[in-house]
Amino acid sequence: MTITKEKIVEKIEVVGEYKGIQIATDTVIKENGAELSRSRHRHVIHPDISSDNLAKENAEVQSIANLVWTDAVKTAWQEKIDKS
Amino acid sequence: MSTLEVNKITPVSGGTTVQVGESGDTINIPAGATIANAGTATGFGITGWSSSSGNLLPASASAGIYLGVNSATASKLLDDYEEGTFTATIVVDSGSMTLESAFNTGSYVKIGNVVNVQGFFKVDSTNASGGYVNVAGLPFASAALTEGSDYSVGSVLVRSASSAVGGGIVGWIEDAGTTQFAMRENGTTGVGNTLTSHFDSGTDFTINVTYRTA
Repeated sequence: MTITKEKIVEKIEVVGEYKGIQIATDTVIKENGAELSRSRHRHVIHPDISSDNLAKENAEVQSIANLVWTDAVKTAWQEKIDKS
Repeated sequence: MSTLEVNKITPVSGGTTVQVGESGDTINIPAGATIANAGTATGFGITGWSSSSGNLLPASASAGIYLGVNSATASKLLDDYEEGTFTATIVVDSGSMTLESAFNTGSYVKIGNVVNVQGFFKVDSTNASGGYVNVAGLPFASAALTEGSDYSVGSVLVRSASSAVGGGIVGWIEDAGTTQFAMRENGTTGVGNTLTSHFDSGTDFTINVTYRTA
């Protein structure tokens, strides 16, 4: 009997004007390859994330971030933060 | 009308299908009668759905159910349900504030585009020097809606504060795109960014807020 635990980035969504990236990570427990349980953990990253923290994200997330976070998006997000 | 009384209808030898009626016919099941199905039923005018352990399962993860209408209407489509956890962090005006690692996980339920989050959190350390205290890390960004309709407030219970908060505390989802629950002193003449001085190591707080997401 082999019990395994793996984390899978199950969903990546880009939402809204500020291109927030919503990431759903599932923790999957399997016994002999058959799924026993699955739980979901979410986090969202914004254009003001530090480069160090972005580097810790899944490679696909990094690629999407670099694609959608244009200078205009970064500026709009920073202006929103400054206004709050 | 004639009556056919049999216990079983089976395909002819070598066949696998039994057909009842022809295209355009109506098969009537009278009131009070029951069709019991212990096998797999397909068709019935619905495609893209199956059964999984007795649960209705769409073939497409984005499929849902229209409620209260008899024509496809986007605002009447219920197409998502999800539950899970998120890791909270604290964002302060200046300096920093951290949460105990044993008390930094919140939970959420999302039904359609409505998210409810809740959790119990505890301050580990702080050198924040003033201003607001926000809970960051909410699981979904807030929606962009008309005027201020994307704003929401939620409940906050604070215990073991380093000093009393006169006006009480509410939590605020401010505007579109945010993933922060902004805790503010309520009823002040200003904007309520006064909480940092009331939070110390060991201060705990419980939150609950419902908000709209995209």
